[in-house]
Amino acid sequence: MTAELLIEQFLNGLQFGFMLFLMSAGLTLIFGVMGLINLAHGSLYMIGAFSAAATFAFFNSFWLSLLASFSCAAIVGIVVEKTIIRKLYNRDHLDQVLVTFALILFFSELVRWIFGAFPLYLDVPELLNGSIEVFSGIYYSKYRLFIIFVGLIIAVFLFFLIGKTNLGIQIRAGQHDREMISALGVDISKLYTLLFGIGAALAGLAGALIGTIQSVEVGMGEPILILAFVIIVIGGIGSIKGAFIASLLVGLVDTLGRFLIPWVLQTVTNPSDAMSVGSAIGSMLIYILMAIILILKPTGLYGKQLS
Amino acid sequence: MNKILKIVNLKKNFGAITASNDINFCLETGEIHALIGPNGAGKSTLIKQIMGEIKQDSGEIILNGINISNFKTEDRIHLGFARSFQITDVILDFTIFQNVLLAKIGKEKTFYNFYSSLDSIEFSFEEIKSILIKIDLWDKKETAASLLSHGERRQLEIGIALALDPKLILLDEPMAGLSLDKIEKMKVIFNQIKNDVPILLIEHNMDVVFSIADRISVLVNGKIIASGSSSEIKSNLDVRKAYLGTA
Amino acid sequence: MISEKNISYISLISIFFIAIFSEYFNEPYLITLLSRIIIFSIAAIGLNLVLGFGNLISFGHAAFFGLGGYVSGILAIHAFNSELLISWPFLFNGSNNSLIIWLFTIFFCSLLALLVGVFSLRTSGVYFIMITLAFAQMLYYFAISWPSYGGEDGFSIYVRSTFFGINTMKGINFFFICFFWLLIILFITSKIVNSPFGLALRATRFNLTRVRSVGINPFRIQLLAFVLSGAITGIAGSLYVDLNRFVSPSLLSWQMSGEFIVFILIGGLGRIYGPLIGAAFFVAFEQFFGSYTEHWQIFLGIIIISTVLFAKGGIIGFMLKYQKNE
Repeated sequence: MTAELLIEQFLNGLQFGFMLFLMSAGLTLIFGVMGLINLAHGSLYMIGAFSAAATFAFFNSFWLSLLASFSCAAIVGIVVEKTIIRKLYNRDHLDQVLVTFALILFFSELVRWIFGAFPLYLDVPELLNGSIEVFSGIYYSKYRLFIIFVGLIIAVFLFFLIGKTNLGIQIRAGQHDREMISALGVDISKLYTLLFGIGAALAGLAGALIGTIQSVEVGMGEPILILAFVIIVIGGIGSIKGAFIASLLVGLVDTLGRFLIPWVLQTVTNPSDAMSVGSAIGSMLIYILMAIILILKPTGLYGKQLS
Repeated sequence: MNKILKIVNLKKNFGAITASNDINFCLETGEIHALIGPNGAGKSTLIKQIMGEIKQDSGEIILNGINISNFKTEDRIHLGFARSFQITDVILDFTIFQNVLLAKIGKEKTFYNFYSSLDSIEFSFEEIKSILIKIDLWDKKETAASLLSHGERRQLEIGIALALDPKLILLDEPMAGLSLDKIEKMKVIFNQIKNDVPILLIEHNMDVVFSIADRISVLVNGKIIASGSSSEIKSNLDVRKAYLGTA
Repeated sequence: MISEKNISYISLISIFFIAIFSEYFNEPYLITLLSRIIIFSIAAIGLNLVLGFGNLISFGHAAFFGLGGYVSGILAIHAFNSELLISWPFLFNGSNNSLIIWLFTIFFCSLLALLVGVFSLRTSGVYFIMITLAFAQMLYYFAISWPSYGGEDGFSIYVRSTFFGINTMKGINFFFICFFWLLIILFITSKIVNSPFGLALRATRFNLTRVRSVGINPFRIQLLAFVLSGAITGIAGSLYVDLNRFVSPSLLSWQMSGEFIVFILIGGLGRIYGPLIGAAFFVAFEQFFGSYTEHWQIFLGIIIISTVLFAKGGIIGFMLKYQKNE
């Protein structure tokens, strides 16, 4: 194994972590402020990716398809919030799980109906094609660096939004006391719709960005949704800071684990066993991480302590 | 008369404030013993020490001859302390019968029994019936607790306490928020219960205290300044002075 | 007179007789469907014990379903190939005997449920939902990346396990075995729910402080319920693998866990027979709409959303209410 490979895997982990943050930021805000478990967040990710792919097929422009991804996801998100989701805010977790589970079935099948079962692909634009020298002698994909860059910008934007703006004050107030913000004269239903829309837009953007590396297909949202849930649970539900740290942690642990564990095992057993055992353990690693963190801190790293 | 609970030379200071100043006190079988005193006299500190929620600086708490001064709250409950909280805390989705039955199951430790039908377990029916009759809720035994009035929930609380087969019951302002006729009803219930289980009553309503307490202890500034029957307390000059502000 | 009891008995009896008639009119496909309904309902009955009666929203019961399936499949495939399964402390070739397979299934699923329960029950609310999901995902990814037993593709077991010399490859005979299991499980759960333990379990869903204050440790009650629940769902997994003669990681998938919750909800939450009605509705719905369009899940989604938003109480709840209004 070479240092180049390790650095490349590290950057891959970082890139994955930033994408996970786009997913989990919306999820954790929606849970923190509205108290809603939204399983359909993965569907918004998928919708973003498909909108991008469709736009790309028509206009052949990557930038236009990025624009399409988050705007379409935001529109779908807002429509769903206004028609269905808002009826769930005062329901228990079970109802929320069921309805948003049903939304996944609905959207997945609808998208399969419209686009068919075959995966679609997005092309990286000319500007971001190829690699760039990040350290002396070490090259890394421009596109993946771009993803890290986008993730970083959005993280800064979110921290600014929550920490410094009027909207942020409302969001933070809403996390502590829902009665309070209505007493302050804030239109809660508008705030909720807006927040859900922002979450949806971020998920849609992540879908398009990841869809370019992988393929765009039905069911792409669920694996990443479950990772996002792992993240918000590790980070502490409702905490953007927790989501950020846990995203990077999960991105790195998952990527490096899958890469390093088989390699470490090779030193003690034959390569094929090391490969199979190693990849089995590597794929379980983040769930083991989550279980350990929850055992030590039942409400996650930055979660509010249960009374 | 048998002394169920005995408190000997109990002392507790919070910094410079003396919350319990050499308290001696006992609860005997068959009695309702009321503990009264103006706000800030140290009643709740005393109760917390009795329940083991805070620890005394010195002195002893003795239950049926056992020194429980250093016991944890759970162990005290186990030995037979039952307490009815000011905030009613019954299971609203259960019927009255089920609420009492649950307590009985806890007491009899049959909660790992998953093969017997609830209707057929030996201890349940007759014992629960007698408790429900005592608290005057037998007619409503199948009513969900959520449908009960405030006063009826209080009654149920006491029923749950009784099902735990306690050595003594500690009632913390049981009459708060009750209407006059409900208070009368509760008085009847307490007078019935006290023959089985002595009651330590903390209550602000002086009419209630003077009409049902067999003995009254008056706590002022962490010290018991008088102890005796209603008439003795009523005529006690110290009490009038400290409590009513007039001599 | 519509009552929960009558609805339940009628549904049991009709499933039984539809199977008999299907055999008579030579409709093996229908018999397979009925067996599937029964197996799914057993799985959901297991989940209902903790979810419906203890309000513990486990989103990872596919773990027990899948483990039951894998345990059975692995025992059977080794027996079929006469391949050594373990060599220490004794030689063991797996088994083709249903009784042995079920015993192993119950043992391992209880063990897993104990482990998952000990960790998960420390948390509550949404954390509980997520940690149970995480455990199931752990097993799912393990099954996918572990190549010995087919990895992502799963493996076939060719023949069903044997049960006292009955020809289990004949659909109706296997149906009877499933039906018999359903009766046993229904009997056990109704016993549990109406026992002192059941009352304590139901109490934990409302008010933990009160449960503690009458001297009951809610954690132990919930843990025991979780173990029973895992074992029951495991049995369903074992039967399901036998029915299809095929084991795959999809048994462990989170969609499976979600579907179990859906069965419970459609039938009626916290009702002993709810999962049976729910599973029957689900399979019938799939067959009916599936014959018109492959996109039947769109309609399933709409039905679930409407049930939750407008018809809480599921089918049984709806029927009981309908009668009251008349």
